[in-house]
Amino acid sequence: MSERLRRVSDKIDAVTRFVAVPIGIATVLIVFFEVLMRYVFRAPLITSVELARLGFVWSCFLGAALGVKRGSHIRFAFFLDRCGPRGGALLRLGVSLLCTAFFGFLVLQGVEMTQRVYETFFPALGYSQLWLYLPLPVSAAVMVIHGVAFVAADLATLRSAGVGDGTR
Amino acid sequence: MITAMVVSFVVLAVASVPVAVGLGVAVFIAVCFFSPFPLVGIAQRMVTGIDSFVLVSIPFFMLTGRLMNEGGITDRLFDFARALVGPIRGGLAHANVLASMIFAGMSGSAVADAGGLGMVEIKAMADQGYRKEFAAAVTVASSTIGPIIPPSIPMVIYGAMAEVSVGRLFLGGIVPGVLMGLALMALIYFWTFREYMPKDDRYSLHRLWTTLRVAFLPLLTPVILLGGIVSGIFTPTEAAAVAAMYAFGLSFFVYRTVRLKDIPGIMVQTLVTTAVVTFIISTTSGFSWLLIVGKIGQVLVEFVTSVTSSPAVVLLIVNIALLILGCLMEAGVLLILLTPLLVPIMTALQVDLVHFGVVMVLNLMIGVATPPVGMCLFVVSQAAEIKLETLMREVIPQIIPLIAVLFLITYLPDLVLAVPRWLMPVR
Repeated sequence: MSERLRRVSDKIDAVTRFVAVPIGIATVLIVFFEVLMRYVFRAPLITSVELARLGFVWSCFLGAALGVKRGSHIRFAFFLDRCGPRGGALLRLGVSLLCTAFFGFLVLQGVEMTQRVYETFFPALGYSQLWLYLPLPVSAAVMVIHGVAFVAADLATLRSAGVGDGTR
Repeated sequence: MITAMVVSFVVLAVASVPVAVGLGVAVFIAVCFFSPFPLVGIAQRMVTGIDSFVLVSIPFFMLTGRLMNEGGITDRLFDFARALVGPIRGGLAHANVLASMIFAGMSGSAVADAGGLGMVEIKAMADQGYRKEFAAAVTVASSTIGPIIPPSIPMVIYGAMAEVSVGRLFLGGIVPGVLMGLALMALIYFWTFREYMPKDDRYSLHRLWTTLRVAFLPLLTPVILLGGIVSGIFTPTEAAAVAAMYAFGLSFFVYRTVRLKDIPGIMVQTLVTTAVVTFIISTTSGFSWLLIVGKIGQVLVEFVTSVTSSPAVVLLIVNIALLILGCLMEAGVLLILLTPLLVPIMTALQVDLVHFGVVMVLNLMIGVATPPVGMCLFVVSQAAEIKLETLMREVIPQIIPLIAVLFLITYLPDLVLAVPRWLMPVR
């Protein structure tokens, strides 16, 4: 079960990378071309700031999902380091559960927020503001999948080490 | 509401919940149980908190630093710095500091300096006969200059949160950054009387010319960045994009050290390191929102001004508190959490917010080099394979000149404000 969930999480991570990298590159190019258009072609792009903000917000949330998969988010580990193997494994499981629940909450609230702003628009682009708020529920959904895989892995660790059944 | 939020955050942080999630959950608890606000407000704040054109520059500066490191550009900078100061007593240690000062003009992150350029520096110093631990300690201390000499990612974050001109903050960092470098070099010079340190052979104009020629194009990066911002050609965010494209052009077309297939990997690392910061900013914006609603800024201002109305005393207390907190918490987290609390106090005391921003960033950057929670300490200790405890002991003397510079710029604001007043006066 844990192995299957890890494979799903890996695949989702590959898809996230596939989407996030072009968005990140496009964001740099948009801002760079804005400068070029303004000074070389004397034709400033009025939509570039909004496009760059959109690209940035998508990059940030997708990057946050990539960070969850890689365990890159900053945490203070001094207490965890002082816990024994049993306590440490249980604490890790608790943290994974809490994180997954929080990401689930973000999916729900993100969807609601996206629906609320559906009828409002970017002044220059004319796009719905939905595109600005959408990365939150999308990335949070990806984080939920990684979180579930972590929970399954933590449970498997507890079981295989015999920690969960109190044999250690 | 505020107490519930702060207590929940502290408990979750101690329980090793990631800071960004801990903040989010603390905000959730405060909104859900202690406030009349709808929960959807959290989602709204999380998006609007990072929807800022100023913050867009963060991944660009990170990308620039990474391309410079991956593209071997840092090696060229170090060779040039070595040709300049190598023949002085403690030559390579000076070159380490000087190269960090030059690299600081291209990258806005201390970790990019410690993790990339730092490894080149430690290897060169160890090969020449320096103690590896000393070389690593100089690298850690000098990496703190990275976010002081412009560009600077922490200054972008402060500027966005405090609504202060990022261009003026960048200019305000020039003199303090140079002072930090000079102070470290002075310490190294005096250290050579206590401990043998090799130096390069006599000056060679030929070597200087050759290394300058090789490093010339990367050396133009700070000129393009600052020149563009000061002359009003582009905003700091646009400058960051131009710098990233310039770094890409150098490493891909000129030096051909980065290939197309390397780009996705570089981009993923850039996005993750950016998101680690921006996800905290995102969840903190809910935190800051509740602090504002709870009038905490106002309460703090009233409390501080009832105790003392002297900016000098408040700055002293804030500096000491930040130095202590900087030892215990990650610098970026502190910057994001404390800026909304400290800025109203400084405004009430009529402390210039550009001055305070540079002081705060410099103070927190000392934290990246101080035990036990110094990010650069971890990076260097892992990469150079030196025990953390050994490196911590070795770094402590190097911190003293940095603290001296901190207090110098705190009480002589002109050291910070002269350059922005001259080049970007407030009209």
